[in-house]
Amino acid sequence: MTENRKKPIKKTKLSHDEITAILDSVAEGVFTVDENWRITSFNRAAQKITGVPEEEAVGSFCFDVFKASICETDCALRQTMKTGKPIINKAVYIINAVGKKIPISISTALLKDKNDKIIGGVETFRDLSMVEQLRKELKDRYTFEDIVSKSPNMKHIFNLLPLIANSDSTVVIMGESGTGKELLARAIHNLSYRHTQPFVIVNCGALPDTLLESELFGYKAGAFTDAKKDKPGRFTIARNGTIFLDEIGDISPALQVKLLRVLQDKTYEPLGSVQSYKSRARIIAATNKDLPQLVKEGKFRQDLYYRINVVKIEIPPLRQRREDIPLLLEHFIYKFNKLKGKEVVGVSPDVMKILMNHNYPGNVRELENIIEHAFAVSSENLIKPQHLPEEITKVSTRAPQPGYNTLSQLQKQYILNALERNNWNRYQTAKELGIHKTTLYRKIRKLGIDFPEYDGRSKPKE
Amino acid sequence: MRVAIPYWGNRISPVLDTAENFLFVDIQNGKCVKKDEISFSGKSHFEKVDYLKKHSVNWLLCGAISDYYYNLFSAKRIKIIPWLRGDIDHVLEAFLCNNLFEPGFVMPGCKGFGRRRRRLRGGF
Repeated sequence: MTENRKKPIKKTKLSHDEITAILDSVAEGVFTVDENWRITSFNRAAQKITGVPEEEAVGSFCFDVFKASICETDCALRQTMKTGKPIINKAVYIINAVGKKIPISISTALLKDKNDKIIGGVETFRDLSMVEQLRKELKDRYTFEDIVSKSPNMKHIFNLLPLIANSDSTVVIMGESGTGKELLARAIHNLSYRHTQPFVIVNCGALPDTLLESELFGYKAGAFTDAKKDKPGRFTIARNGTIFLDEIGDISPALQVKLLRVLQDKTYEPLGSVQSYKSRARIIAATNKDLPQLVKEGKFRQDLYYRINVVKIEIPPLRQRREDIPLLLEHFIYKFNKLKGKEVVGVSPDVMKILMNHNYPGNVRELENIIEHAFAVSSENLIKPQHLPEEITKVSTRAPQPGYNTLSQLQKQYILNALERNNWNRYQTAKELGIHKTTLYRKIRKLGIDFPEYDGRSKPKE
Repeated sequence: MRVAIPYWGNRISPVLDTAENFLFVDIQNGKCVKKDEISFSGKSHFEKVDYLKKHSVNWLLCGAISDYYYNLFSAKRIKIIPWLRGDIDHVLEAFLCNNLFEPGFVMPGCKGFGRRRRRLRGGF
């Protein structure tokens, strides 16, 4: 009995340095504030998550340091200070020092002195980026905010997207494979009032014609051998949501007629059914093929083309918006760091040169795969040329693309591309590039860009 | 020239993305000639951005801003000076005197407005 009696633990008073060392060893971010909301301590994990060094954080207002979504309207610490009750695991987001939204979960408690007098509050927080990234990967919950671009062409799409989302018009998204057509369609759906309804994807190129018809419209029991019970089609499953018809350029003429009917009359008939059903789903179609050309060749019905071509969005290939490559690199490195638990800080200058010169036939998806490959084969925290897939480095060394050794070379190529896209019309080009016409003239002269005999401004010679 | 500042009490809002109240300031010959308070409570981010554009806002002075919001505003050609903190009157005064780079106006950890500093060159 006496052996089991617990020995009284002798309380030792910890020094400030010891307390700091303990707080710094904790994986969660911890900070304390005084009664005036000024930060009094800020541990190492807090510095890492927020990107704010301790010396700048201590003494500043907590809301200027923490920059959380709830600071202004629903501050957890304020609530705790008011009610005396702690808050546990509240999910919010903060904006770190470089503008990235970091999902976190916070807990708060009161700080009291030995006389039980409130002297401030303490907040602990956990970085949920990895959980959030996994959730997105698993549930395909990508939104408008996940489209990474600063290119003028894409900014035009950003401007249009909310308007498109709010309308009910059929949309056709055109762009090469891997440019992010599905991501854009998902963003439109998530921005629209239909976002609570299903988003249904049908890859029209992946299924044979008869199967695709039953997939789209469903069938009734007895419609064919083995059709033992009714099967709802994708239009039925989509209900009032959005149906995304990928690779629409690949569907057969017979199915094109049926699809035309859905678009015209908003009705469809499942296989073997004598009854028509109403479709309320919004249609977003996508293709990597040149639909007007297919219409000319008679492979795609003209009336269907005009029906789907109510709103057309063209996503430029990655080689036409090379300025997005560093931004996308940063995005993918961040994503894979979170998914794979690594701490890769970036790419070496050689890798950047190779990636900037690559032609990207597979577009953004190809760049993502290149980075994933590098993460798989490297254990270092810097991606080097040897970590890239062989075909990328081979292409780069065997047949060099137009080299961008300097910024001015890159600028020259970028302006040339923009001029070509705008038929050498300087005014239109300046508008697209977001610079003044005079700035463009100055750059053209400085970079030694030669004009063709005929351009967007001059009249064709008689 | 019209400047928009998201505010909270008498301070600049710490996070633009969630700010509900904006102060619109008309500036002529380097002086504030008119101030209007606008509430965006319950409005979507697109409505906020559109409202600022429709009301000819040239500059947005704000605290923390996510990349997403930064893209939305810059796509509308609204010039942004982010990562600001402090009393709105002081921030406005510093803006008029081109003194916003003083450390006291920059949020902790956001040295010299980070990668967005170059947008400020040439003043306004």
